[in-house]
Amino acid sequence: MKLNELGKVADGFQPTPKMPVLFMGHGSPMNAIEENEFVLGFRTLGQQLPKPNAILCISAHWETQGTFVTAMPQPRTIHDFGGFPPALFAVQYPAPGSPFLAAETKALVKKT
Amino acid sequence: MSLDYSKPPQYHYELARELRALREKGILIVGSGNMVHNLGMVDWQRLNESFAFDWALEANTKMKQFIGSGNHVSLMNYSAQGRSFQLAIPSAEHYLPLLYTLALQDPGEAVSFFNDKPVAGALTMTSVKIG
Repeated sequence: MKLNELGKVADGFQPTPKMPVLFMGHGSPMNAIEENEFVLGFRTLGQQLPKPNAILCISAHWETQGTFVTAMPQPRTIHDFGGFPPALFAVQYPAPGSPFLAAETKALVKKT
Repeated sequence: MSLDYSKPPQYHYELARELRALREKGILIVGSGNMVHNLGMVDWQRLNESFAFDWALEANTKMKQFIGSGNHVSLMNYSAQGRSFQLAIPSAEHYLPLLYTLALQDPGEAVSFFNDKPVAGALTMTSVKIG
């Protein structure tokens, strides 16, 4: 699909009050399976946030030439590290993707 | 969304500005990285300890001051902020997501910090909430 055709999909999400924006210091991958003060901080914040329609993450762990958006319905979990316990490699995060949000994001960005 | 490693900090900031409308469609936008992130300087024997080397503390403190005062220009020009920033940001990928987050801040909009602690000398977990 061309960028100028994607503008049409931009109205699909209903208007909401303005969502907060976050920067998350993610640190060690072990934060995914440990209980520690940082995990507690994330959890506490999560309980205070309004439930979003979807999440758009800009990650330090995905670098490309050009800007890309993940657009599949069921993104696989990628373990992009080494030297950690098997329990961490066993973690799966089966969050559904949002091809629709991906299209909307792509439509908004004119820079690239 | 990926980071275009071929582009300067200003490009990332301006690109993120174009995403502002998503905030009013219930989309939670999250930059994921670390403000101070130098794995080559991490004290791996003290990986679970909360402490910062002097330069890490200095850089993190200055970053928070710039964020608090809305001085995004200085944060985009991180390579001109001296030795502590150079050590804190040896490569851009863990820092750039912060610029996406800040670019989405409206004028005068509240900003707060959480998980504001260093780890292993050369990392900070300092996280930012806007709005």
